[in-house]
Amino acid sequence: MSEHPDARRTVSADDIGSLAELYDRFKYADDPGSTQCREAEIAYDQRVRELYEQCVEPYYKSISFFQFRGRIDAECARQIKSNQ
Amino acid sequence: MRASISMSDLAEAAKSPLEELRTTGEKLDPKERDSCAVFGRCVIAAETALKMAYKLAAMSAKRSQSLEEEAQIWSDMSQLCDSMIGALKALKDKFPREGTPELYELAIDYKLASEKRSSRTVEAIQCQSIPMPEGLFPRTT
Repeated sequence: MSEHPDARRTVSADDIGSLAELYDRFKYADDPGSTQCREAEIAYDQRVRELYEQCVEPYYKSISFFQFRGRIDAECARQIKSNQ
Repeated sequence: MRASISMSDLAEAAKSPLEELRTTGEKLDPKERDSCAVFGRCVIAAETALKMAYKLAAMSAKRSQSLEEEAQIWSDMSQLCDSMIGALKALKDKFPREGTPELYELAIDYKLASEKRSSRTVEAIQCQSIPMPEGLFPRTT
């Protein structure tokens, strides 16, 4: 039986919103060595990895994790900059 | 109109304590009385300048209008750290008790952090133009 395309998990605006919060906390931290900064970076990378495994890896073999993460980084940066 | 500080302003502001650190460190003999205390004050001034420069770089990067501008800010911050590392390389052995090795380590940490942020931003710039499957990402207006 073929998969229904609607069943596919996609990256939602909420995903980008919560990732942008983590991205902000690590990328623009005052102190890059702080625990808060390090923890936010670990949580961000872990969440991006999960999204890649759920939304991309099973369906789009041509998209690498680094391409996906770069795109997520760009989306988060865009959101942060536009909210200022 | 919002006044803004450029990375060249930051580099200029950090230049004075950095130069003082370099010239004082080269001139002083650690065996001479008070020389370590004098050099210690230069270390504190340089550390303050480095921390302030990093904070302002992070703030400017966040406020920048584009990823290209942001990548340049992180790259400039990385270069500023290079100048600090270069000045401290020999001085950390000459004055090992005035916080010099710690400042050297801090400059390396900030250098790595700035470099990582710069390359991650360049990656984001490149990945923006890679076509992604329709519907994978939410539509942006």
